[in-house]
Amino acid sequence: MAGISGVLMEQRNKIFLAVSGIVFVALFWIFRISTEADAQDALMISFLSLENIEDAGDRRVRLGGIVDPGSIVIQKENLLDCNFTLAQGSFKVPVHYTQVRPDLFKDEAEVIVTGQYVNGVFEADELQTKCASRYEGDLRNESSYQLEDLDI
Amino acid sequence: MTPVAGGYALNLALGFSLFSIISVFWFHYNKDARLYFTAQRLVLGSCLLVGFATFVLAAELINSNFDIDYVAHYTSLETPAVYKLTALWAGQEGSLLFWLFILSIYAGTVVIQNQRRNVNLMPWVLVVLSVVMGFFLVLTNFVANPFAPTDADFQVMNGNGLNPLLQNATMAIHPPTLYLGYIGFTVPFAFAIAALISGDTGSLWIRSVRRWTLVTWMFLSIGIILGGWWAYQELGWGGYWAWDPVENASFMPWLTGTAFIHSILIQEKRDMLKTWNMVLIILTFSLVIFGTFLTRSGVMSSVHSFSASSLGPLFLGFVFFLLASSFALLAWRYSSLKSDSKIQSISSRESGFVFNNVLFVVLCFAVFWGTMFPVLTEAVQGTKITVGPPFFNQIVTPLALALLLLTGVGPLLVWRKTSKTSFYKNFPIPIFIGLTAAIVLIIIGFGSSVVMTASLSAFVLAAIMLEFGKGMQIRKTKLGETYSASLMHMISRNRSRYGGYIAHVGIVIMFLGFTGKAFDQEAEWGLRKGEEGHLAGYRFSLVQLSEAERPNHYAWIAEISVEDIGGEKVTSLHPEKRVYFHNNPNPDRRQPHSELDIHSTFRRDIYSVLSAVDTESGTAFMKIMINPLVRLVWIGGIILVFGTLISLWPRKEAN
Amino acid sequence: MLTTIVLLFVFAVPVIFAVQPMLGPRLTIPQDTGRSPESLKRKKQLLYRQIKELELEHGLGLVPENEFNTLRQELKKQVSEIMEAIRKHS
Repeated sequence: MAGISGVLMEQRNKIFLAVSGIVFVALFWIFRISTEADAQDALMISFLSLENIEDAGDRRVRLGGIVDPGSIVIQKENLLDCNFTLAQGSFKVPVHYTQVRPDLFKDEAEVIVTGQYVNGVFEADELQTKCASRYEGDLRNESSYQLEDLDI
Repeated sequence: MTPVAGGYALNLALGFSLFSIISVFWFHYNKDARLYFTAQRLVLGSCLLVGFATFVLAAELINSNFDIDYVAHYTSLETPAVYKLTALWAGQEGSLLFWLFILSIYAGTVVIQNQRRNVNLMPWVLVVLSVVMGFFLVLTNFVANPFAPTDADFQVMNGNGLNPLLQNATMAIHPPTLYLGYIGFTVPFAFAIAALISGDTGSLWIRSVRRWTLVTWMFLSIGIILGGWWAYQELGWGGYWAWDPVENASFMPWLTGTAFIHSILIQEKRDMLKTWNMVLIILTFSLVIFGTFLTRSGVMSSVHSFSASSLGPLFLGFVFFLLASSFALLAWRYSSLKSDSKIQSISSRESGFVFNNVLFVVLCFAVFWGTMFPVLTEAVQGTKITVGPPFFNQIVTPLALALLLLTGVGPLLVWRKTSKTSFYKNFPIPIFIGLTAAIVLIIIGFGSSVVMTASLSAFVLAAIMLEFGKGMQIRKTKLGETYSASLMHMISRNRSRYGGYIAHVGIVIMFLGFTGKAFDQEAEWGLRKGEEGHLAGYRFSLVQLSEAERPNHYAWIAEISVEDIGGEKVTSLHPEKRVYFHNNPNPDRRQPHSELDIHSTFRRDIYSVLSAVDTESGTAFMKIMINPLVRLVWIGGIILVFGTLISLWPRKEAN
Repeated sequence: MLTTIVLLFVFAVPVIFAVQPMLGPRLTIPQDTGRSPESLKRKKQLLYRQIKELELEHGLGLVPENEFNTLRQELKKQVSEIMEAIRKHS
């Protein structure tokens, strides 16, 4: 009897060891990726506020803000080449972006850009607009306006 | 008048929920069954009242009663009727009411089904349902009332209208399916807690919730897949999954829920893992509420999130309350959850299920970690550090591959202990097929991740085929059936088992689709008529650029001819750049929209976006992507749902 | 006026519906002892299903021989006990 339960215990210990092994290895892997410097450069991006943009150095960083109204300038020869100013309160940073722009990109859109800060211009390689899954804003005192009138 | 009625209905529903809780406790002390039946009816009444309130809000939305703040904010006179109705879940207040409405459907069904059944569990099931309903009723009554009057100091003649992006058929279906999936987990959770409170911790509650859980899980899967499909078809970035916090919020309960639907099998068959099942369902439900918190609180800057609001702390508080009280109950009943049967061998089928569960939970933790990383780093270091798809892919890939391996190993394992004889009987063919696939792929020159995924997939498919083959062979020899008849009978007699295997096939096919991601290629060009660009062995030339004015938008349409390397015509693509509300004198109010065109085959999708048009020079700026194997993801998804349906389809009770 | 009446009705109905059981005589629920003919039948069905499943898994080579025999014996014994109980009831 003791022999059987001994075998049982041994098997249960094996399972316990295997399970803890899996958990340990997985947690170690997650921890390593989260803290290792190389991984950090490749996999993680700091989200800076515009006032700290100088801290970026030559790292790839992420910024968020509002597209400054009237600041969007699109190149005539290449419609994908676009400059605009990102604003966050009184802080402003010029941004340059040369890829396909999301449909919701326009004046006063809330955007997130990722890229490098080079010589006073933020060279963005990624531009995301916040998806307006809501449609808020103050109600207007107008009796009739068309659907076209709606603020996006 | 009627909107006020909606508000009253919600007041009364909250009262009903509170009284049903009181009735159950009272019933518990004096055993007067009248109180129990009253509690049942209070829950039913609460469900009906919520249904009534939802109906009122829907009617007000359709009738454009702009005296209600919600109606004024999310619809306008011009919104088409269908989308006036879908505006029900477009905003914060409405979507909370919609949450309640779905919960009412589930709760009402549970009560009606169990009026005289499960007498030991049901009183406590009522309590849990009422607590959850009560929480959402408190929110809709006091924090985010969908019937609140417009606070403008003028008469609102027309509302703000629904965002055009949400005026789309998939967006009308995707949120409700996701909700059905999310909220349905309340039912198994309620039964689990009832089992803990009543002390009836046997397999009864598991049997009562098995089908519920599968239905819920299926809806959640459909919701997640539809969300990806919508993103791929509409958003123009060429992908279907971005590890966005809100996507993760739906994925986390899916992971623990998947673990749960596997481990309850073990409790049903072997009476093991009882505590673990409790832990899983508690985690799953808490993750559901936590996910709702993520989307409501504004903690995450996500593309999906609603604006920051006072709801965050309440949701977080509720999550802590759920976790604390559930685990306290669990600790209290811990001794009664001890099982007599123990796992006997590491090579047993039981332990296969244990490993599957551990991996799912660790995977869920990994996703949780990545999702919360920006919040954690901001709290610890002061800088918000965000992580994107590469981070998740690094962490998730090895765990997902291990799970894929188990999908194949599991069905081959024997209960209690896989002896050497059974091992040699079951494993060699799938291993041989997996290895052959690996060698062939290595010779062709694929990279390690593809070789791993594809050869594991081959292994899993072989293992499943073997299971089907063996089952059919038995029927054929025993009953003399033809192969096709034996296949049909075998599946319909053992729906749970073979439905599950079919779902596994779906998952494997999805995995194969994911590997295509590594071979995505893209290019951006500005082409004039007759000019061409080259990508991935294809030649893309702009045949013409035309314009069209349609009722609510203006469109530029590019006709792109696609030829392969031999000059053979593959297809013509017609991506469009549209501007909605183009007649508006104010250019800011015009809404550009890129309508993609995708040429989809099993091997690859050719994905085209017309991003800008220079009318003067007639230049079309376009983005072309080659996305291999994407179609497999959708096909796998359909098979997954089909298998789940087989699994949960009730069978006739015959003697 | 009419709306008020309608609303009163809408709200009165669920309230009456909910408290209605309280107006009747005191009730006790027969506790589910698992001995009622219905629950016996359900148990029998469940056992039959378990036997079928066991036989399938045995055929597929997923249940070791000695285990199969003991489990099958055990299940069959339970079925005959339940059959006996059902016979007594009817």
